[in-house]
Amino acid sequence: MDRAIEILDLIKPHVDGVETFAVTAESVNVSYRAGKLRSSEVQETSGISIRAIKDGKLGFYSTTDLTEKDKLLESTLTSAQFGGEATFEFAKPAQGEPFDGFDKETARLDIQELSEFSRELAAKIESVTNRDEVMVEVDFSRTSYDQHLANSNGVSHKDRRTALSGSVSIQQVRGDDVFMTYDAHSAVSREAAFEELTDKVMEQLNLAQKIVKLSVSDGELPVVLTPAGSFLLFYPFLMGLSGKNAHLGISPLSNKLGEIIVDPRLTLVDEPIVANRPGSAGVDDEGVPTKPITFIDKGVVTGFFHNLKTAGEAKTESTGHGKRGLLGQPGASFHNPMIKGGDVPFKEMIKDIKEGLLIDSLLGLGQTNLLAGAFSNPVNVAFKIENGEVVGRVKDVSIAGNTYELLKDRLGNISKEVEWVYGSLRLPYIRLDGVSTVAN
Amino acid sequence: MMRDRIADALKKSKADYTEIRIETKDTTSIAYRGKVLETVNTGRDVGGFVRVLHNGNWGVSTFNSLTELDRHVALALECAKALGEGDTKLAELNAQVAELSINLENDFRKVDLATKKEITEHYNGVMLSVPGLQDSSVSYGDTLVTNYYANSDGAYIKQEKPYGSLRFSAVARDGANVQQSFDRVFTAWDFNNIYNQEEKVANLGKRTVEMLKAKPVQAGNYTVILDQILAGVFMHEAFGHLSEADHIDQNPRAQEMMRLGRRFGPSILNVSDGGVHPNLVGTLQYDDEGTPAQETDLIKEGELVGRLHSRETAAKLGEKPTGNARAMDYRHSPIVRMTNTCIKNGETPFEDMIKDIELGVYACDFIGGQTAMENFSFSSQYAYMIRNGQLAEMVKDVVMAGNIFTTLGDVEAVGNDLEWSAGSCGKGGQSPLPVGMGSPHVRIKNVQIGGNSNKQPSAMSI
Repeated sequence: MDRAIEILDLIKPHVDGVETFAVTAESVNVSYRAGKLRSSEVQETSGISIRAIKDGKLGFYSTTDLTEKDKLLESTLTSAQFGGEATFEFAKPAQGEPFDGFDKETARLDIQELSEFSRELAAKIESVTNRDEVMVEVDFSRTSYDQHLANSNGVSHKDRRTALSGSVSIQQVRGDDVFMTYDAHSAVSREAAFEELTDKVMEQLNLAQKIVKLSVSDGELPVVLTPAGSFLLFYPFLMGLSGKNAHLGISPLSNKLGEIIVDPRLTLVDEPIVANRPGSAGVDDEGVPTKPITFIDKGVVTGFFHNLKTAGEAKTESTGHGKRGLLGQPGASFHNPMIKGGDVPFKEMIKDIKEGLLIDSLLGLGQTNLLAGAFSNPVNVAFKIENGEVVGRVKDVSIAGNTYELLKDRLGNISKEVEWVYGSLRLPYIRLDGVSTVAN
Repeated sequence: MMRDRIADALKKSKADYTEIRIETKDTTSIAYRGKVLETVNTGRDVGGFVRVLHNGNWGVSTFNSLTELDRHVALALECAKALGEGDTKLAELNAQVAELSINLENDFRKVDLATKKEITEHYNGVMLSVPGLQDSSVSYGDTLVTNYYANSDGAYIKQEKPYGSLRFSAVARDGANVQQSFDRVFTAWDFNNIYNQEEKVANLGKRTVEMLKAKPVQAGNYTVILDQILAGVFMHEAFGHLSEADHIDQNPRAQEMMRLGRRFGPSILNVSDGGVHPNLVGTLQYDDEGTPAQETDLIKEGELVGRLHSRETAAKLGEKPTGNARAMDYRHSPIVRMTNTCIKNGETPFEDMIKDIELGVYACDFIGGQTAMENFSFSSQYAYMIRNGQLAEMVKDVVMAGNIFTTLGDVEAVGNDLEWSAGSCGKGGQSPLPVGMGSPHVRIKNVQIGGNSNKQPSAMSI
């Protein structure tokens, strides 16, 4: 019998409500490093997590040891006995928009095919670089998994998925100069973006051949963030638009519903269903149907995201953002969040910049008070813009500021081009005029 | 018997080299958020890892169901064979046989869930009594990993790895000014460490409220003094990662850059790493390839004298394994990781370090750090300006940039007050891995700190 249902039936008579989430997965990955494939791996996963409500309290147990059925019941009941107040009920049966996240071809990809693919990508870089200076690493993996969510309200939602993930990274060492960069992508099935992983890496490597200095050691410069670099501006929204943080009053956006908080050119939406994007889901991991939601509409805060538990605490409805792994309690997160593109092409955006920075990544991102929007980071992969051209790499430079303030008062413009960053996040180039910069 | 089952599967392996690791992990976690008891979770994770080296390539199989070890050995071999001819070799190692069981002070396995919840609730009460907080969290966690390792060289090692933690965080808010901080107690040996932490909890709450009044630091290059905790993170990021041989083993230019004997810092700088220190979170007796832990000198009197190895990187560079091949869990291959890394004690007392600094920054505790080999960052949780040799006002958002070739050379003084702290490290998708970090106070000149610009935008800039 089906494991999720079997264990649901085992626990149901002893509690007021129960939910089971069973996963079985199988994946293959290969690693290419410095001129050779060096390892490959197969991975099999199976496990289950259980949430139960008894006498108004919530219990949780998860395990990958499926040989101990008695322990499942006992551990779940013990957890519920000491657990916190259950402020929600498990989902009722409901239909979501259909999304097909399974691709037969991807599920069949084997070590040979992934190896060949990795070799091809590595060769594109190794054929034009010096192997003594530039080390190339390529990793590919494909996963197929089945998840089954069931609860005592009659929900039984089975989902079968595939995911293909790839990354390309390089390390160039010349004397004491080190340059490292990478790109990564994931999708339900094979698509052109995997082939293009080397493009960004090669382009950055070319730009990094020349190291240039800024003319100022301390001042404010125009900064253009690449789509990957724009993650700096997105990250505070990820925390700030969390319904939980808003309810607790620690989001700077708490109580700002309906208020304009950033430049009206900025709109942030979450599209739960986008073809081939692995973050897509018609029904979330708690059984709640998803829907497209605009969270920032022309600079105005229009919503916060919730799962069942955070919605229960805030006395509102889940927005279908329950997300979970195999062994943890569900969290809440976006599916395919996007900052909408503007109407200026990237080339136009930098045309009038006499001296500025093009930033693709920062060191220590997330290790500042980004909940409040505060950042202060050395640049990692960054280039100088001079008289409208990208002229070379800069290092030993730090930038600082507050993302909310910059997006309110210093938004230069937003590019027409938008790109999927690492799989399920879609961001444009964003120009900020006047970011505090310090250089050695 | 697990030992026999593993030995049996090893015997049937047709690979050049085979190793098997079986792990069970039991976890309890209890978390309060504000007044609300948010989670009481328990869980069990059981799994296995088979790795073979065949024709110079690695093949790996990981799994949850332990009933088919033979099949996984065969799968791992298929993986290695699919890659053709490789050149990976392993350094020689005497096979070790050991069964180590832990001897815990106040063993958390004998403490029931009700008591653990009471402890957590007690600390939450301490936190909630701090006036002016918008939000807080207090959480307790313990895990026990039992790890069986054996390889085709004849090694068999059973280890138990306990880990306990108390984590607390606080948030204070005044309009758009939101400040947050966190602190933690980690213990690998003694559950008594979980007790008597009331002052630490209350201080964190008070400091968070105080931070609402702190101004962001002005951008610039400063002489900084790092407290022991942050100095430990500094060395971990600045140098520790570059001493992991898997960053350089395949790149001849990187090896040249990190040649032994090269000077990186002044003669007062001495750095080492080792799993052998008792009672630290990175302590281990054998690494995940069965190599006994040892103390490895990395920098001696400012010169590079050693690096950290797995059997693979040691073979590649013609050196000896150092006991630093660590895997986060059964899902991962061991890679070169730090254990407990420290800057050794120097001679300068804190008072002498600070007294001649006209304008500088005293930076304390960490939020985190990251390295890209040459350049790195490390961020403090809270900091004070130093003015005319004295600690002055609190400042916030102090994040420092470093460059390995200049920043280590800019170390001006090393204190005599070494303290160890605990952190967790991420590398190659394996996070968090517990690491110990130790250091005395350290003074460094010319450290770049991002912050508010001192200057108005120049007419030239746009």
